[in-house]
Amino acid sequence: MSRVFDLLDFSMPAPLAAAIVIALLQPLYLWLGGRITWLRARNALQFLFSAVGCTVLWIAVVALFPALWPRDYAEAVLSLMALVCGMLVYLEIWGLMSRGYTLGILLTLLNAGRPLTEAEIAARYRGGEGLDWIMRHRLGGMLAARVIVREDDRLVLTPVRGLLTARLYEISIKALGLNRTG
Amino acid sequence: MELGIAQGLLGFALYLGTVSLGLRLWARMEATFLVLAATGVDFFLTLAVLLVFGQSVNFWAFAVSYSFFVLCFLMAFGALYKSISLRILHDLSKKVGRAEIYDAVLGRYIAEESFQNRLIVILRNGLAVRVGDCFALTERGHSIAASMRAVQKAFGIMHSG
Repeated sequence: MSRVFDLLDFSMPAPLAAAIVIALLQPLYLWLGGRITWLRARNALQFLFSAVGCTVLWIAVVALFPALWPRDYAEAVLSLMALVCGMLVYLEIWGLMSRGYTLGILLTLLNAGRPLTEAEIAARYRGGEGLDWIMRHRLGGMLAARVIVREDDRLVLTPVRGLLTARLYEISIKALGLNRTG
Repeated sequence: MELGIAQGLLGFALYLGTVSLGLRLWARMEATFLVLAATGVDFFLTLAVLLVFGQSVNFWAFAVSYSFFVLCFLMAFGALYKSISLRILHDLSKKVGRAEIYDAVLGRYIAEESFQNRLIVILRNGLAVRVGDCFALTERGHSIAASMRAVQKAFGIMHSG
């Protein structure tokens, strides 16, 4: 058994250690982003700011301290992978905090300070923008991506991008064996 | 270190196989639970297999490489599994003329399915209770919402949703 564990090496390359520490501090960069006036309430941009900050800081730290220079390309790749891992974890949390639908409902109830009916929750959702906001937001994204177009009161799938996206989605769902989504 | 990247990729391949098979075998199980549980199981399984077959493994290189590929997959999976927009596109592709009335889409995906589902989730998790026709936060729901509001304020997030 001990021979098996002898095969396990716990030494961590210096640039990877630097990347992990810098990635763990991403909430600090997000917090700093929240202090910048033009980034406030622009959540996606705020996250991008923190992600770019992480990467630039890692490059600067590694460039400044020769002891942290990657010994080969694999160490550099692994360090960048660690940075991206941190970003993806925080992105997931950030997404829930800034775009969470269920959280939005809870906050609507909290801000009201009293019990609300279903219709009242729908109307007061997202600071009074209402449930329609979700649809406007999603549709805005789909129209901008040109996967749908609006023709009077109808939504029409575009023949190339829209149909291709729908087919890729269908293939992915089938490949994964998912029965239900959404 | 190169070997660590390759070993992580091998672990990810095993993970993909587990998820793909698991979602078919245990179709009634919550898919999110399955894909998350498989991340830990396959991490240690791959590590054990590599060691048993006499491969030397740098733990950190393997862990970072495996986590990177799995997290990329989880982001894509989350988008596929939860995206209302993708579902709308898919359903539109099945309609005659690949078109539908805007109000019907709003009613079905946002007001009925999505909104109702979230209300059920909130009730089921004990975050709110029904009081007559109304929904009221429970003590737990109130404390979670208040904490989240404080975190949002600290990070400059104005709204959620």
